[in-house]
Amino acid sequence: MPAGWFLTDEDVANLAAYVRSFSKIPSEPLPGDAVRGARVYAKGGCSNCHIVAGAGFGYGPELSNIGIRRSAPYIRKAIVKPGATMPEGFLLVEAITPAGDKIEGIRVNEDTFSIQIKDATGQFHSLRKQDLKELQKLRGETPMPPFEEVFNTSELDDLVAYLASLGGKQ
Amino acid sequence: MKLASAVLLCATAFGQVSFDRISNADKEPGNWLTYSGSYQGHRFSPLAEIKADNVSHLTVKWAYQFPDPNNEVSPIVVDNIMYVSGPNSATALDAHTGRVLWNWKRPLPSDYHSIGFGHVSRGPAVLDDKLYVATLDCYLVALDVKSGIERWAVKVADYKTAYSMTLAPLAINGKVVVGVSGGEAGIRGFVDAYDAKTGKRASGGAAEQRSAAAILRRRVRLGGDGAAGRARL
Repeated sequence: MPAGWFLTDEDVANLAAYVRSFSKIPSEPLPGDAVRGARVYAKGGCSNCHIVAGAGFGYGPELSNIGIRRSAPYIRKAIVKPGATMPEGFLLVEAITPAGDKIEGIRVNEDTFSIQIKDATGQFHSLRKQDLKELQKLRGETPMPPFEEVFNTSELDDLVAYLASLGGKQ
Repeated sequence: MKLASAVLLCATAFGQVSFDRISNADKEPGNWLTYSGSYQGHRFSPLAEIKADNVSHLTVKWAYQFPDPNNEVSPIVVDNIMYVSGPNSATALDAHTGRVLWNWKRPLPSDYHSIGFGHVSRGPAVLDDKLYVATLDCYLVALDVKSGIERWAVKVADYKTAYSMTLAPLAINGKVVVGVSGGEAGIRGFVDAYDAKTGKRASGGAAEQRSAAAILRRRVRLGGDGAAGRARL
């Protein structure tokens, strides 16, 4: 079997979910409660950056079907240490404009001459690189704070159970 | 507006497109907020930089390769962002560079067929913070303009009974209006409206009108060819 070098992380996750669907074995039960987890999701302000089933703000990745794209341990890790689970191609950048304004956000697109950034308010900025005073690529950094100390163990279990239950439209 | 000289300036405003803005689209000649430019439907731009005597000197600024070769889109342009749609897809582009900001695609069912028209989309519509796309398999979909993530999707009609949509939806005050294609396959056309925020169907009666059984009953009731029934549509 040749290596699937041509598959992106998302392709691999989708393929794994598809192959898993062949199995009749029920998935391993999680310690948390998905219904309570939905309340933790709301209380934690997760919808300020993520969209689930059409509701929320789309700065971070959509989570509507995160349960079939990621395993429960991966979801837990992404909540506790977001920097350790950066999505492929994700890059936080900081640009200083000719006027001295600082623009920080997610790189949406980039070519040799220009870069497009989406800031935390969802506003797009199209910048010509030669005009910028500074352009920093903050590799390994994420705007998502670690929630390790925000949620207690029980809340974290519930939140993971909730997110793992999200299968999107079947 | 000097489009050529306004290339790539930072801080594109990313304001919402209110009904009021679309109603006064003539005050924003640098934008194209609805399918025909304005609710008057003139499809006329007062921008004067491109004229008969210089049109032959236009050069390519950027190019965007559509993922599907079938295109009949009228782009929507809002504050330096260009929104285009294709068959069951939509894309936001940086209007200065053509770089993609987000993509959305809805898989076309493998058993979808059309008779008499191509697999195209005439364009999207924008209202407030959503972009509306009508799909070939007859769904009206609302996308978040900032991310392209689906906010809601509603089934307008059943593509398996030959209904289809290629039109650009019309977004008005709190409503999105759509109509269907498929007359070549014998469907009964109709126009429907949906709540722009929730996707709930706002117009009444269309469900019955589009029902073949209801049409047949009406024809029998009218004792003829149903001309009166058609007139009601």
